[in-house]
Amino acid sequence: MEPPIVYYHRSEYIETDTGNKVSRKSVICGSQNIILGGKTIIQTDCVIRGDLRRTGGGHAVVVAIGRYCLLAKGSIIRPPYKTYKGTFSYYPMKIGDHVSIGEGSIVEAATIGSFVHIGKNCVIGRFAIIKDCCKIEDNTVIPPNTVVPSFSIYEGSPGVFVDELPECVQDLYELKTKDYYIKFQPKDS
Amino acid sequence: MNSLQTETRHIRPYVHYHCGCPDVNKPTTDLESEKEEETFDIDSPGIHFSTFPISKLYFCDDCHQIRCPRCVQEEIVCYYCPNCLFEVPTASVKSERNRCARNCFQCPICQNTLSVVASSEPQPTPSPISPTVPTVSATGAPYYLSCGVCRWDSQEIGMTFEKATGLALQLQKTEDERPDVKEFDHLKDQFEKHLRHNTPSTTLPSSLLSIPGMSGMNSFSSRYGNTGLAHSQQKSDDVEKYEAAVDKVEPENGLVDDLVHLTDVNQITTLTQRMNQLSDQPYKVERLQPQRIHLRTKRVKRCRSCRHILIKPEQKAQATRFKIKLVALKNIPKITIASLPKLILNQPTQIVLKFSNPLYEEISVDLTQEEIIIQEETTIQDDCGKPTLEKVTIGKVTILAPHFNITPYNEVLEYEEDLISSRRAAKADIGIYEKRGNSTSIILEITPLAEVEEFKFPLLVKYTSKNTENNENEGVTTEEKSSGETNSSKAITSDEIFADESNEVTKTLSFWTVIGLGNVIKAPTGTSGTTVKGPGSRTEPSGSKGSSSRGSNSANRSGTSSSKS
Amino acid sequence: MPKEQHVLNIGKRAVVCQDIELKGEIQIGAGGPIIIGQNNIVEENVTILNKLTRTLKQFLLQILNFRLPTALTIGDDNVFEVGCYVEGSKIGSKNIIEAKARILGSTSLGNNCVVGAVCSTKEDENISDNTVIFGDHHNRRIQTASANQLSSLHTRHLDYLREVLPKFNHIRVSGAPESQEVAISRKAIKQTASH
Repeated sequence: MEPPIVYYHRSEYIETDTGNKVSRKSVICGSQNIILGGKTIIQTDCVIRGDLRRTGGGHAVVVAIGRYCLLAKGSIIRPPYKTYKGTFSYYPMKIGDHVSIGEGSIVEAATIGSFVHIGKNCVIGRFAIIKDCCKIEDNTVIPPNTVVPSFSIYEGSPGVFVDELPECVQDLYELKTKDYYIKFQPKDS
Repeated sequence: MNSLQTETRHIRPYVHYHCGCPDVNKPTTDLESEKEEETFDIDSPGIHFSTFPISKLYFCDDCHQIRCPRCVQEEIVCYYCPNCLFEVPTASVKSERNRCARNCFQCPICQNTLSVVASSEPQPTPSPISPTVPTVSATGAPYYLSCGVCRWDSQEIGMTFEKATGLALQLQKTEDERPDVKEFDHLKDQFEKHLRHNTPSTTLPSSLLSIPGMSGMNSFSSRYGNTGLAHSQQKSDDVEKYEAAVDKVEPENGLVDDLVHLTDVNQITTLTQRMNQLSDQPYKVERLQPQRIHLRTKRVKRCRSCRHILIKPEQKAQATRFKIKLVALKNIPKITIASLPKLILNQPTQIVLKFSNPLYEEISVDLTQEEIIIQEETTIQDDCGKPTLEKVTIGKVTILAPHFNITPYNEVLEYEEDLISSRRAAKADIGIYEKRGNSTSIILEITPLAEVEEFKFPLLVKYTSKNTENNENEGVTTEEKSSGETNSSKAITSDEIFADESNEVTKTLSFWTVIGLGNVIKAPTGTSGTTVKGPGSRTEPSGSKGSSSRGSNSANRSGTSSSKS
Repeated sequence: MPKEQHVLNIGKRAVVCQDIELKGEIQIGAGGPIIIGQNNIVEENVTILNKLTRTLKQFLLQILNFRLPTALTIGDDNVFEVGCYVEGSKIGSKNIIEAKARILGSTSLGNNCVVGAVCSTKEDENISDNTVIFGDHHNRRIQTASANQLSSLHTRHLDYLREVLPKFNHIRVSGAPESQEVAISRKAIKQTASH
């Protein structure tokens, strides 16, 4: 089924020079620590916690998101935390290109690769690593520290491997995210 | 809410491609398979096993045919642990029992991956409840395994580790001492000795031999297969008398008593937990042990007919690229349902199908389709109770433009993003909804004549591509081509290919598709025609998709964010 | 699910103790008294609701003609992770309520419990100390791990937040009606006099 065109109120979104579309109704904390790759959409009621940065100086980037990503309504991006050698710190999170994160999902992963689809209402635990070309079904809980290898479909709570993705998933997700971006259009009213 | 979601998923509109699987369905004669070309029974029970979404299909360049997961052969090229992503050499896969021999363990309670934790304080001696449980160190070694989901930790069963690395190796000793493992190894030794003597030259490809257990099977089949039965029987007599290495494995003491006095269901293991510990399948929760994580594989996929490679992944465990990738998505026209108004009984409705051309040459498409859709329905007769098959006409389908062309794929056009403008460029053609880039959208008129849960119909797609390239590519073997190049350069051997005078090569391929459009509803009283009401005004049965809020083809552009693909 | 309203309302009878960190969209008040102890961490989109008063209070008022304190009491050192939903009648100390977990009805929770991600309790039950609720079927078990290690993580986490949050967010340290300001920053360290 061909996805329909999604219209948004022109006044709600800010469009950056690189084509990112960020809702004014989202909460972006510590925006100076967040990098968006371009043509990424951040929808209403999203939260990105760029303020939870690493203790000590140096690494300023807290959340790096690639190109053609989609953070659907109400999704929350939060860097993971742990104590390492006695010091507590939050650690940066990296999200690749062509990643879509479904409505109401909470992401505290360390890394999410490219061409990843995360369904609605998922919880991605702290320091989870999701490699390239993966699909997390709706309502899945990926526990902390889990590694999701490429070409996997994970489902359930705790999320387990249920199936493999076909080899063309990279092309499929690339088309899908580009298509979504193109069809995400402003409307005055 | 969940059940509703699955329900909608069930009758979500789809376009599935049929794969004839000529090699799997060998028994059918050529005559029958030809017949199949003309009629295609979408109500046959086998339909779910022979139709696939385009993403799951492959395309064999040599046979010039669609290949599905049923008609490809797989060979393992690489074993790796899905958790630590380390490759395991094929040689050691067998001895490590197909599981990760590093630090990766599965929680015995919830099957989550365990993590290694350092205990800051010295541990008390392990609890006395499980004396048979392997105790690596009784004096409180500093590391243990811990589960982040159910908060199980290996200290509960007295399992601790001296070092944080090579945990599996530290456990190896205890694992090897388990009676079942001992017995298995003993049996294996016994038979291997025997097999080594009379294994003839292998008949299976060497790549299969690398699969653990496969080599054994090979010699097994050669012994008991049709090649010299008498001979092998004589040989099998030579097997020495087997004596068990271990006495009968004792059952857990007092298990029955314990089970009788159970008061809490949580005290015994679940089926999943037992199945994950196949060696002894304990009933008592405290006997559950962390299991090493199963390895995963990367596989080469070959066409069953011509043995050419369709999929060849890069060897490295973490690489996601392919050396060869002949997927259908990049080789045959992709059909998507672009607009689907609600299907209402006895009302002609126009739907839009979008055909995209992934090839670098123009293709012309011919669509064939029966006008009347007949579906077999089971109705139960009251008097005798016997189900009878009844043929019901469920609707009419008319293709307004059965012949059309699609312009070639062009990378430059990909960046064209002015979507809203330049709509309906080719208004002149009847039945063509729009032409854009490498896609053509056509209009189909559907008239449902029965109230069915799922309105589906078959569609025969035949397309011809004109390749202006010369045949010089023929010598190039597919293995040498990278996935990117395969689109343009085709090894041309198919007999369906005709070269005309101007070096032009035309290739024709036809395939069946099944198009499912979801359910048909009765016309609500007071409304007539599909174009009357605006979005959301119609009451919506739970099964129907968000597409209901669209009035007509053009109205779908008004956009409903609720409907998802 | 979290309320859509973005305003932090602090009701008159709600008591917010010292050193509490409240961030995200929080509604306090409306229903009835909620008493929150010390050193709790409440993450984004958490809903804590004292529902008990609405049903039980009416009932008690009718029967006894007497007003019982039906406050939702929350102990110390709890973590309420993103998007969890807490009704309940009593929450002990050192509990972890994971993301999207739900504590329902008049359930009371002991100490050192874990309610796993997306898990929920039943409407009315007493969950004993050290219980872990996890998985697809909301399974339960008793955890043996001591809370020592976790508590050191917890205190360090608190220290970190106390240090970092003021750098990025507008904080106002004061008594009563600064709700507007807090609503804008939507996360704050609040220090108000207890009782």
